[in-house]
Amino acid sequence: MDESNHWYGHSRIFARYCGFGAENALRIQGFVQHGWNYLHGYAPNDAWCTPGYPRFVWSEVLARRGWSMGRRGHYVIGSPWAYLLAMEPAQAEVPERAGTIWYPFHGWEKHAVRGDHARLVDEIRGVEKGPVTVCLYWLEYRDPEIRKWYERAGFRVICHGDRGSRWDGRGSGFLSKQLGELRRHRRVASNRLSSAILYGASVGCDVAVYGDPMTLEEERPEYGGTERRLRMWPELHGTEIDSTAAREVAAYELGFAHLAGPEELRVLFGWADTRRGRCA
Amino acid sequence: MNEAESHIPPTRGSHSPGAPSGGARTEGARSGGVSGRVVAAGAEDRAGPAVGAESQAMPENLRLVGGEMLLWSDEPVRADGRDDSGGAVLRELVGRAVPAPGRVLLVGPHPEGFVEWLAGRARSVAVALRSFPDARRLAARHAGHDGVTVYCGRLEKLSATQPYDVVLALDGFERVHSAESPDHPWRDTLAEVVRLVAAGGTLILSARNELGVQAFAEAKPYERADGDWFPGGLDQTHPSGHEAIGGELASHGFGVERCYAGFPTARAPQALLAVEALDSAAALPDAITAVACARTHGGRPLLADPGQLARKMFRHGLAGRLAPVWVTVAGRHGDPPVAARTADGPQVMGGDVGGAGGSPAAEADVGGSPVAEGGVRGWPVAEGGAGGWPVAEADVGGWPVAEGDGVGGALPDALVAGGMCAGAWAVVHEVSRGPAGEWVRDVPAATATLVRDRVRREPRALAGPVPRGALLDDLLLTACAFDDVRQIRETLRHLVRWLESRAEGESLPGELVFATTDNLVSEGDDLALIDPSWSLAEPVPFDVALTRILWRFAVRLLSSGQHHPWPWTMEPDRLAVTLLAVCGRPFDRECLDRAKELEEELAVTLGAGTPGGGVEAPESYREVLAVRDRLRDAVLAYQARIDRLEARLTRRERELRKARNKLRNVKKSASRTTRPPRIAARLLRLLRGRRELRERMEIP
Repeated sequence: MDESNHWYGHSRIFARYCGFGAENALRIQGFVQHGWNYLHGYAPNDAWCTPGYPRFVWSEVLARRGWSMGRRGHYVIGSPWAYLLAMEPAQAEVPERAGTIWYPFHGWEKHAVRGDHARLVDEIRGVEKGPVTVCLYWLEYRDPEIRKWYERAGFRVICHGDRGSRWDGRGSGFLSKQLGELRRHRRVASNRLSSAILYGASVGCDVAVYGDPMTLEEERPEYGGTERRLRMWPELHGTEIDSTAAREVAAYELGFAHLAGPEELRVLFGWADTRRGRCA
Repeated sequence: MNEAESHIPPTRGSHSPGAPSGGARTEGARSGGVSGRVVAAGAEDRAGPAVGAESQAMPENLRLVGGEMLLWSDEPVRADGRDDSGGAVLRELVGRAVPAPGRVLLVGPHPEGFVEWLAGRARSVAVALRSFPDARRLAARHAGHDGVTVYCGRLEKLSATQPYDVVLALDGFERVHSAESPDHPWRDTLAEVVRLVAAGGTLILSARNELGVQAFAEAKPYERADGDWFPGGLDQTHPSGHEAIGGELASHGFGVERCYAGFPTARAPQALLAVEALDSAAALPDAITAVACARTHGGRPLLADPGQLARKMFRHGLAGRLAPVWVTVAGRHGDPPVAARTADGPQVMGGDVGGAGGSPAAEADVGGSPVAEGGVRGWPVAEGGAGGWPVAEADVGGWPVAEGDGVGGALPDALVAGGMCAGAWAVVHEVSRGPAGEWVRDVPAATATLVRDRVRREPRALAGPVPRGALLDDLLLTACAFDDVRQIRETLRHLVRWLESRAEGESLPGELVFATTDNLVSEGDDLALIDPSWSLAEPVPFDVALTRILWRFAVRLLSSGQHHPWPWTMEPDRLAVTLLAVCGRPFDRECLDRAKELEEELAVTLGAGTPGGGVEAPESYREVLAVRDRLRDAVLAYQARIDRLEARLTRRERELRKARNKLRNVKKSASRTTRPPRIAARLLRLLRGRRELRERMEIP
């Protein structure tokens, strides 16, 4: 249906949840929201979401916003992350959590991020007391110029990997890796409220959002900018954040209350007639 | 779908806007529903987009409280600035209920003219809106005005502000909450709104009636539009009657001062009738209910004529229950706020002068001189800059509310505006019971005369008893339904005689040009004008005036879709000719053309949806059935195409997968066997084997 359904291993997570085995990337008949978003779940220019196929969004507020913007056919199923957590609940023996995992705001293939990494490093150092792991997006991780800012500061620099596609398995372990890292850290932090922050909050990390939020080239006005995020979630900005409030917001935004059962997903995604272990 | 080209993905965890600059920027509604309220981001960019606006050009009096809707607008901008939202009659009510408001809060969208009017008389006005573009536009309009503050975002975030002396929610609660808010039933919204009213303060609240008369006429099923992010009509707490509204208000410590039923539509009420007056045994005269029964189908397909339904509603004493909207004035128990309910003359008058938002502009120096030509879109320009309104000749417009003749506190039985005209010509007048039980219209002596082109309206002529008797239109329609040609003939000839007796030679005086069948009632042997305030500057030839009156009725009859005794194929012109013949009058083609020209001229001058444009027959059920059948065929065809494409796509993907597997296998085996020496050895072995074989078989 659409390539973005397979990014970060989302379709594989759903396949595994539906009992098909995680190695399968099945075609989903619809458009799965592939990242946290405070517009309507998709990019402003979402003409590729053909009407007539459902939009599988993470939370109900996105469906309402989308409706008000002329989008139809929403189906709230919660986030792939929520399904992953349902399949990989926290272990009884919790490893000692330590340090902070820090996700700097990232660009993408078409638009880079503008900002001062040196200043960000100083800000991180000023706030974080324990060891710091910096997780870069694969584009920035590949750029030695950017990496060196963080490596020189003595941070551990990692990357969860490529987002992958249907035809190569590279992105399949993305969220599992992220889950593993988040469960090892005490804190998760970023310079912008993002999926990673919500993921972290949902698995018991303390949360912090601070530092220069940086700017993206040709940032679209529909989102409303940093000020809008501050007005909407004032409680989620700062170096010390009430973790209960953060967990509540995460649960809402990631749609934990909307998890569908495997049978329902199989029908929704057009997998009802698919033989197990085979791709449509 | 060529995904490589059309699909531009945003980022992982896309909290970042990831879209190309050259992509489609308009996010128009793509459903078939009623929409177009989404504000295209591209369009907004020109005025300063959402993001940019926060760093640039944000009016100082705009407060973003969180949860504002960036791409949404509740108020379609009207280029000609006209306010046809029933503003005049509601404005009058507000003026009567709170003559000198102190701090006022408007909850939800209100016409901009209304806000302006209120800003002129209240100490301060706060407006709570959900739409950011609307809020910014309104704030910019009042940027220099200290007293106007616009709050934008979720209503519940307003609770931190100090309570207000007056809270107005004249748009109801349907457009109060932003899409960011979870579902708020009516009752919860009321609880939020009453919290904003100070002790002793006043709340004026509109509530739509879900089972109003319009619900019976509506043929189309409810269709969710962009504005209905929650489906409508399912709120169990929505009040089912004016008593229910009173009960809800009482539970919050409010006392209802008066509750009005608004007609003919919830969106643009032209008449507010107190529910007690409607519930009482004495029926309202047709002359008043005619305004409430205006035929307003607005191009929507109908099951029944709403005018007829409304008339039945009045006859059955159900008007208070089936009104499209209730407007309630309620006071919060406690000490009254300092500013409220004290007359404050100069402030009030100051608010009215130049009323650009819908009240006729009052100009002291215009006198009787003709109005300057060249109005925008056909509307005259007032010299005070209140572009677009007929100009008043007298000194002041509106009600001298504060000039205490005891009017201030008492709320009227009925307020009526409109009739045959659009907003600017409206003269809001009070209707009340006289000592003998008769209904009396009351127009303040100071009300201005309105003039535009050849048309003049003298509102003072309205004052006095309301004529009783049946509407001539109704009498004729009934006779048509009965095929009672004799009755039709008698009624029409009676009308002609009545007009002839008032004619001056060959022409009809200007005030009788408006003696159309929908503006006349039959009182025994006499006829009486319902609204005698209209007149034309010059007399009109008798035949032209009569032909126009009959042609108007012909259009009315054909538009009603009702049975009549003449052939069904008749269009208005031929029907008018027939009616003329019924009256025993000769027909003259030129006369009919001139009558239609006069109709056209008056329709333009009055700005009203008169039948000048011809028959507006509601969409018939038969037509709908035909359309449905066509659509069903189309949908079946599309479904078949989709199924085929799905099947092909699935097959291709299977083939692709096979091909990829094959390719992988080939690659694997190739990498195992491609070492050159081995290949050479195998070749040698093969050659040797063939030679041996050849030798053994003695092949040369």
